Amino acid sequence: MNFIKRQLAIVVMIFMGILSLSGYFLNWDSLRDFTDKDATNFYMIIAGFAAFLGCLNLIQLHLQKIVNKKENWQYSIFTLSGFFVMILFGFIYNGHPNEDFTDQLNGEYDEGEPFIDLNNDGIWNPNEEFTDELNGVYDEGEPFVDLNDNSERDYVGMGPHLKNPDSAFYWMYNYFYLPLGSTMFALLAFFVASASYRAFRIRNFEATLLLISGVLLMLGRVPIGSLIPWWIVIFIYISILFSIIASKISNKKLFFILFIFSNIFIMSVINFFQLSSSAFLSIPNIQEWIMAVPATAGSRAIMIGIALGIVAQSFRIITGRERSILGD
Amino acid sequence: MNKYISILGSLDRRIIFLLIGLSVLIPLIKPNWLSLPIKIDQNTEIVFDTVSNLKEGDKVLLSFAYGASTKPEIHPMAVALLKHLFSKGVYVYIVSLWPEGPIMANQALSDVINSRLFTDSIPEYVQFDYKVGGFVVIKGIADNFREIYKQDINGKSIDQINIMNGINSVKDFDLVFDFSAGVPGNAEWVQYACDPKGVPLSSGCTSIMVTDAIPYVESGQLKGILAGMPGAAEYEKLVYDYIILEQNNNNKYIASDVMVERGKAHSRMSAQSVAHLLMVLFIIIGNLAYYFNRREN
Repeated sequence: MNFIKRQLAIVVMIFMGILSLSGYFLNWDSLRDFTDKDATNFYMIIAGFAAFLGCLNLIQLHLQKIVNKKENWQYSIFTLSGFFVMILFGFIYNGHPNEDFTDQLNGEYDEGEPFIDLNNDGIWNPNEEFTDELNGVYDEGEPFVDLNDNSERDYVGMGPHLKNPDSAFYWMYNYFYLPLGSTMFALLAFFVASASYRAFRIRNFEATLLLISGVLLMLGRVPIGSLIPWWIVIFIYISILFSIIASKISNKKLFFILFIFSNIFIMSVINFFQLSSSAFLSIPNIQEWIMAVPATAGSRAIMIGIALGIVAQSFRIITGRERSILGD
Repeated sequence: MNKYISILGSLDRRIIFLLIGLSVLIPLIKPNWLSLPIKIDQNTEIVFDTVSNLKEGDKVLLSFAYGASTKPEIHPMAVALLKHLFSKGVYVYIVSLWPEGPIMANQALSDVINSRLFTDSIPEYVQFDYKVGGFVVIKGIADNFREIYKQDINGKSIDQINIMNGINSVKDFDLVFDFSAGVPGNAEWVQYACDPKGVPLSSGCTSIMVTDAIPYVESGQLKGILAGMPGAAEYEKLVYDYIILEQNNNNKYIASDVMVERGKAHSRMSAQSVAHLLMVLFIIIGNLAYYFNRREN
């Protein structure tokens, strides 16, 4: 048993790892075919089963919580209720007004009826003979019970009903899940506002940089940002500069006079040389620059770091050193 | 003075919640009270130009990878893009990489069709069901589309769908557009399909994802990006202006007697503007209080 659970699992893991990787380095069609098609299908099938495993795990976890009355076990009742209600509407109860019909021979070719395929195209053509049969499927003209008096036979089978706006599952999705999901996301606005009020402090240089870029991005991404006049942007620049040099000037009166004088002087210079429409005085332009230059540089550094980490981790898996998947 | 600032610095969180709630709610209920001009971001313009350069009969693959929680942000851009594509006479192919994708796509299509903006001669579109597997599905689409999708969402074989003729891999599309709110998203489309196969890719995503996607935009692997609600509002505005123009030019796909409506993101931008401004005010107040408290102590 231990052999199957450990040694065999490691052998399969190493074999599949090397095989999948080889497909990208060896010019062998069968191998390429395996990595491009078969391995892809393997993954999709395993991922499908993982959903079942997830469902079982969810039931087991929350049932245990309820039975043992662990902390906040009451919430687990809601989780399981939601889970089973959606299973009911997904697998058992359609909710759509499915109207019964009477199967009849109609003298016309209907889907599924046998026919002589003269041109071997797999499709029935008007000149091909067919045998009229009771096919168990509703065909145009057959009588049906019109429950909602719309003169059309309404029927949605189990499966397709998941995408039908009249089904109970869709109703639950539209009127429960959708508003709840949006509410959860919308709550972020409140928490971000409260958190930024308490945590966005000019404590040191790094925190100041974060705060400034955060504020500029917040204003630059919304229409109100483009309404902020150039002189306020000048004021922001000078305030940033003075907040950095504040600790170097001990005379507060001098500091204040310098601050006011710098504002007036620079604003006058900008006005005199008619530079007020420059890109560096527009908050949306500054925001675009922050996203295009410093944010891109930071993101690329993180991406390269992650990629190197993936290479290292994959190497550990292929060489059998990484055994966390075995539960070690 | 110090006393008042210190009081402002220790505001109860419930007051902050109330103010934020009002700042969002009032502009949403009364959008006309605060009508702000929308400045078009460079990346939005690139997306618009990329779609505008498509020709009648071109094929565009749309990937729906978002759900209920991110619908308010991404759905308006999906609706605007569908309007733009249909008005160009482009064939649309829809795949879903998130379980909720087919429902989102259905709702976007219904919004566009129910607007009655388009005549009956709009080109065909085909929608496929959700496929489990994430990036593996993207890789499958890149190599062999027909191996992954054998029937459309209604169970019709792809061999019987006219616009599926000649579609074998991602290379057969003229543009791929991804609506993403997480993984799999635009990064996976870049890495596994569009970059290796040389197919133009564009994307619309949540604001929070923009920082991750920007390197791909800067390198040209993504042809522009619609960044969150502002991106959606900007794109809506461009599409609105374009459709008005095309309506006057008697575009055969656009109904001439229907009033063109602005999208939902446009009206939501006022709410977001006020909320952002309020947050900045909170930050300033918080810092003033922090400064005075530190000086006192």
